[in-house]
Amino acid sequence: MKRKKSANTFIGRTGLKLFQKSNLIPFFVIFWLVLAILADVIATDRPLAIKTEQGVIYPAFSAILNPHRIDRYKLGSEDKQERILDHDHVDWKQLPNDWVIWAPVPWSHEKPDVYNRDFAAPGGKQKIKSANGHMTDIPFRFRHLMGTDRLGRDLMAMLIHGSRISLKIGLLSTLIAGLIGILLGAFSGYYGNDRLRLGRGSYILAIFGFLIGLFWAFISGSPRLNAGFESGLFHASIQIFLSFAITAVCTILAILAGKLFFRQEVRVSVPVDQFVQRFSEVFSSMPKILILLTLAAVLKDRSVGMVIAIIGLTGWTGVSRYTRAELLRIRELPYIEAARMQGISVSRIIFRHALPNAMGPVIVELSFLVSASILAESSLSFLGIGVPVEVSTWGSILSEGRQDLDAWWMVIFPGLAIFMTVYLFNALGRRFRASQLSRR
Amino acid sequence: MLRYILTRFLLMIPLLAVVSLLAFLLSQGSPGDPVESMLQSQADAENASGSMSRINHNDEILKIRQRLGLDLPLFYFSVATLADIDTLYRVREIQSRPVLKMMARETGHPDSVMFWFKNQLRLSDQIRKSLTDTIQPATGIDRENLNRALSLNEGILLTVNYNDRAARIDSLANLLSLIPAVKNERALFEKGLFTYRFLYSNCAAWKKYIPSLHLYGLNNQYHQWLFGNGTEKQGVIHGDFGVSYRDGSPVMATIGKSVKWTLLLSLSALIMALFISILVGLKAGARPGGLFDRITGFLSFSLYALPGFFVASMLLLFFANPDFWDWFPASGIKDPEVFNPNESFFRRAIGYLPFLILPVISLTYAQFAFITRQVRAGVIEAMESDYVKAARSFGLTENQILLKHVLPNILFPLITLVGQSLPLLFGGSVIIESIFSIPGMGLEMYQSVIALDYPMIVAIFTIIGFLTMTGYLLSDILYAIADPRVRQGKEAKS
Repeated sequence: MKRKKSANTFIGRTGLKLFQKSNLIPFFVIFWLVLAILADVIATDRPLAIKTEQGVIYPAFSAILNPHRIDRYKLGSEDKQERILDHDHVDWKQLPNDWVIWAPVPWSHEKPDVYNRDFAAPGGKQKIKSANGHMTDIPFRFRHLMGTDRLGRDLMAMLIHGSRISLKIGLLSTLIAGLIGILLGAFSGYYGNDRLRLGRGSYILAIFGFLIGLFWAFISGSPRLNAGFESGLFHASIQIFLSFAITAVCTILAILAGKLFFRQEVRVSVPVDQFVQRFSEVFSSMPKILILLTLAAVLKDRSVGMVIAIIGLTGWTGVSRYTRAELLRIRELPYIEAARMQGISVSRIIFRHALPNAMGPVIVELSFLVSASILAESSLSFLGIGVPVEVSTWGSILSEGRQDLDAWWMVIFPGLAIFMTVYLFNALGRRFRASQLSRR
Repeated sequence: MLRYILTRFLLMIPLLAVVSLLAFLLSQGSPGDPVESMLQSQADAENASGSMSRINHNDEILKIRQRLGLDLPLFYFSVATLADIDTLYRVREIQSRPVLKMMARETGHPDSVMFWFKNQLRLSDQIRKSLTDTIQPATGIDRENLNRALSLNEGILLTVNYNDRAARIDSLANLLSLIPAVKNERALFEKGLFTYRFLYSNCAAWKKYIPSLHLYGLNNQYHQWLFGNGTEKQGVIHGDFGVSYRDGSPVMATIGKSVKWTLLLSLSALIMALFISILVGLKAGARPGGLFDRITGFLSFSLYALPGFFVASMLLLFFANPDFWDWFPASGIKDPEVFNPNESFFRRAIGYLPFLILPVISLTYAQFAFITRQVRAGVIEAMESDYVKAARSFGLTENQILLKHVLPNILFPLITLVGQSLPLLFGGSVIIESIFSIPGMGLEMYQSVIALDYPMIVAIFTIIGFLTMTGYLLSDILYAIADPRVRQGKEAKS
């Protein structure tokens, strides 16, 4: 007990006092979320609002609904000629206008700035085409503040849009890992090795049902699974879910049948905890980076969804360990005993009574998991086997910058973005832990 | 104590078996034919001298398959459905296997499917014979039609979709009726068509829901992989993981070459990390909340969030770049041959040093953050204990207390930590090694994954799995030595 306390006061006392005292971390998290969600409006080459001969239009906002919008209009009633404004291809900076409001970062993350190709430095000479068609020095408002990449894309815009991908990957893969880990940990912790007692006949029937369920789900169903894998991630996950559902239904039916047939018999306990522990031990004894590398290399369908699935499916062991430990403690508490005595069903006890009280350490672990997933994704992208090539993430930008060390901004800025995000979520986890300690 | 170690050791064996089985299955479930990729890489190595004729190529494949034992069943037994073909592993035409499997699943008559398949193969042979017949050579339009029939028939054996296959069979029937001189072929085709129609008119789809178990005995791929086949393969048990697909050299030899560098790097990084973080942790833990503690706490927490590839790239950017400081070589390690082999060990080590400094730094900093926290927590706990109070009351100075009394007590958890980093010592860091292009295990791992070099991947998987388990065992044993409660099978309650 003493050891635990001292280990945690470390978290309470050291670190940035600023973050600890004035509670800035939630604001930073919200800032990061807003940045990721509003990336389309914050970093775009389309103006937020512009008054042209056509009237006032809002290209940045309309692009959210339809990025390939084409306006056809006529000036006045007597004008015979139809004018066309192709939102996708027009050079907004050259468009004649009465007034214009630019986005905070007035560059696109996809469309290159052709006048500043081949790594324009943040502080160096940058050019822009002026209204009369001459090349002039860029005004400060349009400077690429973090430079450009080889193609001429604005680095700041790429980083802002990259935050959206890392948000997606970090949160969704944590969700997957959290669901698996919490479920496995909750059942193994609650049942332990002694709580799940079945009649001997039902036990044997349950094992039989489980095996036959596995058979029907994965061996009889192999053509179904193959077809699912061939038609993409969505179908594959549906088929896998279906397979697990078949297994579960078979097992449950077998247990029910056992209860029906064998009324009074010797009861034996099922070592649920042992099963789950051994499973996660085997799982964690394999090098995670090698699993990630192999899966990413073997699976041909390279999409953001696949990366999320891979990281999520390999990250659950820590969550399940914490949930299990908490539930092993909670299940001995009097209120759980009372609930059991009242005959409340096991799933209700676990999900309504036990798990909410176990969530504290699990949430800490989950927020560490978010940062770990973001790190894993950027490592994979850095090695060039993560998301598809056309999606630029922080890791892949950094990897591009490493090829040409003259472009130092391509290394430092994405690296700092990853560092700050990871730091933020680690700090968030630490805060959660500290707040739990003070509550106890 | 001995009994505890023994039970732990025995518990490890089934887990190891499972890990090796998983690694093995991973290599089997992989896409692509290993023999093809092996031949491909060999042809690449011979650099386009491979003007092998097609027949020769097929013979070669068969030979290699036999040599690698790929014509054997996968495992000691197989669980399949009653509708599955249990001798599918013997079918040489690998591309036809999915078709046969699918047909057997659809119809529920595995034996008849195999009969049909062999019949179609015979038909192909017969057509080929007619084409090369010297006594009555097929000529003109017949020859053309025969060629088309041959490719159609081979196409049938590669078509998984039922409707597509039916269409091809129909057109083959039409084609054969156009050629008057081919009685044998037509007879074979009629026989095949009869079987095929029988198959699909008497479907027994229920068979795919009935499990069936086949025992194959000891002569299977997994057994050979594990124990060797007595002649060529030694088996994993004897440390033979087979031959790399990439260059055809033994896997273990390659690992032996690479692991040298990884061990050098990770050992020196570990030692440096331990040294620095013990010092820092002692100083920080001696006065928790002090200025030094706060600074190092913040530092180690920040370092912990720095991605390794970022640090490595930054080091390269600043210290191996003519624009900033060109102090260290950018990447790679010079071959030992570059140095005079008669050079003294010391001079050689000096020669290697500049190549190692940056990688070691980028490996050290992450461990530093973690170990410092461990040491610090241990020191804080120890400083409150009775023996430190006693030492203080004897008038020992703080430094004496820290070094003589506290340090030995906090070393213990560190030993278990070292035990658990055993797989890391072997596996190295994929990212750091590929950034600095150090020919160690990490880079080897990365390259073999990219090239889908399965024998290598499986070997690394198995060895790291083994080391992880050994690490767990080691740290458990060390804990058991310290804590008698663990030894007696009770879990220590915190």
